[in-house]
Amino acid sequence: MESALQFGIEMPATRPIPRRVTDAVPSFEQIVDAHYQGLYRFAMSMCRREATAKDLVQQTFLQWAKKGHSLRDASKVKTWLFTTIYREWLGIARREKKYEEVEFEPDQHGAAQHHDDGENPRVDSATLQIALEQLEPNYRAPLVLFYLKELSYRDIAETLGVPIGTVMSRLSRAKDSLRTILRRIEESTAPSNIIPLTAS
Amino acid sequence: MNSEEARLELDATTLRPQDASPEARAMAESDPELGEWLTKRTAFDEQVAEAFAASIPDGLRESILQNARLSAKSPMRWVLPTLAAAAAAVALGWTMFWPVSNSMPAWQAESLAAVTKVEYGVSKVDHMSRDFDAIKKMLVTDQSPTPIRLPGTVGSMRVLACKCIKVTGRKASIICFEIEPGKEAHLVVVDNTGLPDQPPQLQPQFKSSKNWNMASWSDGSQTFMLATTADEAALKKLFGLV
Repeated sequence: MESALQFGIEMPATRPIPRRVTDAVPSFEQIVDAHYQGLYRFAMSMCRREATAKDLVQQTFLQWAKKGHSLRDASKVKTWLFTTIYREWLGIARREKKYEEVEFEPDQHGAAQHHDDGENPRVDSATLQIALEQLEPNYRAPLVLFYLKELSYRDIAETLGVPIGTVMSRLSRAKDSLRTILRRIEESTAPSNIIPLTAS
Repeated sequence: MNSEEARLELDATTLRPQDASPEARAMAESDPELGEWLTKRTAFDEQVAEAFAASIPDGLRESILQNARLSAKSPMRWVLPTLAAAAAAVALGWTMFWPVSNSMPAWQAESLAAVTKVEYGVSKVDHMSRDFDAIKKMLVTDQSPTPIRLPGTVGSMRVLACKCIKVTGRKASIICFEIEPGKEAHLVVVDNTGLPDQPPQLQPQFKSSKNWNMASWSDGSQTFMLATTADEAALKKLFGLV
């Protein structure tokens, strides 16, 4: 149980959650251990404020403590938690008017897909955060959930409350956008673009 | 599934290839261009996933568990004091209105205790009837004493119910009357053979305790106590004393 504390910045160790309704439901502590890191990373990527991200995670687990018993399918614990934290974040973002639904969905209007076939850009944690901030929340949310590797694309669709096809196309577009942004950052910080400071 | 659909599905499953359908995987294997694209895409996604790990604040886990415990306990913080306060209020109220005192003869103390419980609904009556004869028959059936004779207008009150009790180990009856609108008077009848501290024959003795007024007397082999929360005048009026 304590080993989960020593993971540091590693991805969370996902403990086996019973897959059938008849299986025993894991304890509250087991559920916290299995998911709090993933939930925090998702919240942090969406709100970009540590205090808010911590509050979102706390709130999510409080919701679970109050309502989790009503979940009949133990295999849905993870989806339930991510859905809850996403809704909590949406509530905050809407109150702060920082997030509005993107009305135009290219994938629903027959827009052609663009495939980025260039070389993979380099990426590190700091650059990635800068790049993610430039993505629209509608695209950032599925992308973050995808990279957390916690949920399948079907579960991501359920979590975000959008059709599976929409999730797939948003993921594809978000990845393309991310690559473009990362490449732009890479180019802007390339040695040839840095003007050396010289004494005049 | 066409190439574009396969590409979308494969792109959504690069980090969880087990989630891709066999059809999409087969297309990636049979289409070199799609396969090459998938390989490059997967490499990029794995690189991003590695870079994705934000540090977790120290103590977050403990904080979650602590808050959950507090949340689980919080109802108890309300419930227990509330229950305790309610119990204390009931106990205090009961003490304030409990009329039985140590100075009373045992038979009277027990009679008054039984009557008080009936008055406040703590103890249920056995039979309810507005017919005095019917009440007496029920008591006879229950082998509980019925009054042979009642003074003044005691027997003229409207009868309500009866109950069999025991007073100092002997069978006794409570007969409930309506002494005035909304007020009851309870008559306890007990066989006084060998009963200590019994009241004098045919001379009602009046006594008050808390909000109760009582009249006690003996008549032959029976001893009576009539108790009511109505005022003393209403009680004495039954005996022609007002």
